[in-house]
Amino acid sequence: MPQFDPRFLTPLLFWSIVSFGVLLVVLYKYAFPPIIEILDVREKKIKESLETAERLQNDAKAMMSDYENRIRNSKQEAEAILEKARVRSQQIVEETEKRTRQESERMLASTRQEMEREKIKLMKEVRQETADIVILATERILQKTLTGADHQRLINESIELAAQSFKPQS
Amino acid sequence: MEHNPLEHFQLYKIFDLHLFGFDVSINKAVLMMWLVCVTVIVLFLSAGNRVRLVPSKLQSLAEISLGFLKNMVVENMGEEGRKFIPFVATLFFFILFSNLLGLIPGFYTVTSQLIVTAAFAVIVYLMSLIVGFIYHGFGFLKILVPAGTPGWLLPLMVPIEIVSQLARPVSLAVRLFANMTAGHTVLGVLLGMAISLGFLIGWLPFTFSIMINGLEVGIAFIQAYIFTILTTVYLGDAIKMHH
Repeated sequence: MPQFDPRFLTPLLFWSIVSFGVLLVVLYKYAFPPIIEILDVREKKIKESLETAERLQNDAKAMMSDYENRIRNSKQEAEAILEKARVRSQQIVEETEKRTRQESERMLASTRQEMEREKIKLMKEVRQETADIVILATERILQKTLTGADHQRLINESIELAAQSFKPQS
Repeated sequence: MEHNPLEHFQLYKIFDLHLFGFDVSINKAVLMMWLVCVTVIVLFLSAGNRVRLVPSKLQSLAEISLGFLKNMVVENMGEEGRKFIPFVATLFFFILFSNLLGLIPGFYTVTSQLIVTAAFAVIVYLMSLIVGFIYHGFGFLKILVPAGTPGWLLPLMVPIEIVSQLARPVSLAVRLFANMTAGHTVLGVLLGMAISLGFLIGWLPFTFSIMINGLEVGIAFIQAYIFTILTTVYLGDAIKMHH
């Protein structure tokens, strides 16, 4: 095999070590550092970004739960207010109903009293009127003035008569 | 038409050079090593030039490959291994570009020379020994005794472990060399057939040679990867000594 030609052993050995050495030194001194540095920088940056993102996410979560709490509280508050309003309106309705009932009862009672009073007054008037008419008619028929006793008896009879005809239908 | 598929592995002296009585003449393989070095340096310098947080395509490629190698080192050697990243990365890119540039017709595959792969394998193995002794002192010799070995088996186990240790650099060197040589030999055979069989049947081996060439690109990456990951495993063994 041509590779085992002993004439080329020392040149190849020497030059492969020298070339490799030079390559190693140049790469180690000039070429690798900036690239390895940027790799580290990027690694750090990515790590930082991830941490920031995580922190922001946690913040957002906290905010979210805060808002949810607030919404829940306001909902409860609103419900409480609504409940209070319902109770209050119920009260108002009941009070109004009660007052109206009392008022109407009171009005009914006073109307009844008034009517009673009117009836009595009317009956008195009717009695008086009837007495006058009876007296007048009797005077006409008898053409003379009755005595006091006659007068009274007649009046009473007429009143009885009138009272019977004026008796309420109840 | 006679065609030797191993012919393109033959080297010729281009420039005669001697250093301390040793022959260090320049040949095609040496020129290729220089080309590999220049290519890797240019690529990484332009990738590392004006690095930005949002990378350019070249910077991104350099970052991805370095990040990949960094993970490999840390995985096999632990956090202690971080200082070996430049060495491991240089090794990887030197072998990778030697494999890849060698695929260009007319160029030479440096890694198809056993002496070159052996040099790297021995360097890696010696390095793992040195690291082991630095980290564990003479306790590192316990690597020759697998955990839980009964005392009476020691005379048998220690020689076996010594052989398995010595097999490491040998297998490392031969694996890369054989893969590169075999691939190029197959390509040489196929292309030789394509030429000698003529137009009517020759297209068949020619088509194969195209497919094998694609395969060789994959093998170039895989072999560089295997060499590098075994390097990190051996160094990791030396650091962690879990046997």
